[in-house]
Amino acid sequence: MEDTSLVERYRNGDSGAIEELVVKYQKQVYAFVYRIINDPEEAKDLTQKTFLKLFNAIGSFRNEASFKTWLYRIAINTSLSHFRQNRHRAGESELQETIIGSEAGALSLVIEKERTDYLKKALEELPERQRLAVILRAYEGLSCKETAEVMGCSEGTVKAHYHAAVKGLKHILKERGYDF
Amino acid sequence: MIFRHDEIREMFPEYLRGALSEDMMNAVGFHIRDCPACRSELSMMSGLVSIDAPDPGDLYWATLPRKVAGLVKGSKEHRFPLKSLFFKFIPAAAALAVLLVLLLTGTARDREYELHTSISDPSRVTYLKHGDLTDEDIYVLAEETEGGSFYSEPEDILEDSYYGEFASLSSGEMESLYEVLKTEQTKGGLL
Repeated sequence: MEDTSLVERYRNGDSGAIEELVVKYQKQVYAFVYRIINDPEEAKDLTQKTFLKLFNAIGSFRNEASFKTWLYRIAINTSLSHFRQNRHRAGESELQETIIGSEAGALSLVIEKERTDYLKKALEELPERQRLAVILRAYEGLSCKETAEVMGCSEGTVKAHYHAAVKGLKHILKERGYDF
Repeated sequence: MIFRHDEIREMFPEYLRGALSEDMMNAVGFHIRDCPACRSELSMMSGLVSIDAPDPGDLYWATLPRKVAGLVKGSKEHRFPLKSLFFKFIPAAAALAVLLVLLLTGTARDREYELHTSISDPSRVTYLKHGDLTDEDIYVLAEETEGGSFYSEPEDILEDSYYGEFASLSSGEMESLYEVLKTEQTKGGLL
């Protein structure tokens, strides 16, 4: 069913529409939130929080942007405010623990895991707007126009952030001896 | 069609998801084959996109929708119903306002009636008590009785007016006086 129809159903008092909307978007929201904060447990809580905020604010949804864009915007705000409050807790030990805990025999898996983890860490080091541009464009598959709507800026700005992010990632990875 | 490097790189997210048209997929493919810089960037982007979020498990996916629905319902029930409260009390407030207006206008009308009757009918002056008169009343009395020309000061009214003498008369004496005045008036005497 179309998002707008589900929203309308919810506004008309059909609480079943809540569950349908959550089922439809829960995996996307969780993955998106996880990529911003890089913590699976926190991502679970923040996914729930995002949906609660969404339904409490649904009266202000005016169909001007798509429902998905609006949902992403709420997820960004929820995640970033949490990320800013808890930035200091992001430990440096996580990467090391992952590598030590892996099976010694599966060297290629370890290398692959290490590579992925370095990419994750490098992504985390990017400035907020650049990180968002990459996450929305590369992970979430949003077009430049949709990304601009979610981030509340122009398409040109999205492109600038995206390019700066890619450049920044290359630089961070090169500094740590990774060259793609 | 020939694309610039930045145009090709902008298409990487869609290329990695296979979301481009066949022509565009081919164009990107040809470009990265001959361009090491773009190929390196695509490799990095590919690594980035392959990072999966850990699956929280079926239980989480199964319970989240119901949990959210329950919490939304709960938060709605606990929300202070300001709007409904407002609409609920509007009729009561309106009724109260109307009642107050009626009471106030009624009091004012009674007060006006009391002053006017006491002046136009001298026999009812005994009902007027000195203590009830305020300065404002006295001015009003002066205006109403003589158009303000005869009694110019409040003390004039209190000292020289006859209503003080009337006030000291009993009701029997008042009746007699009224009868006398009536008779004299018919004869064309005093008045």
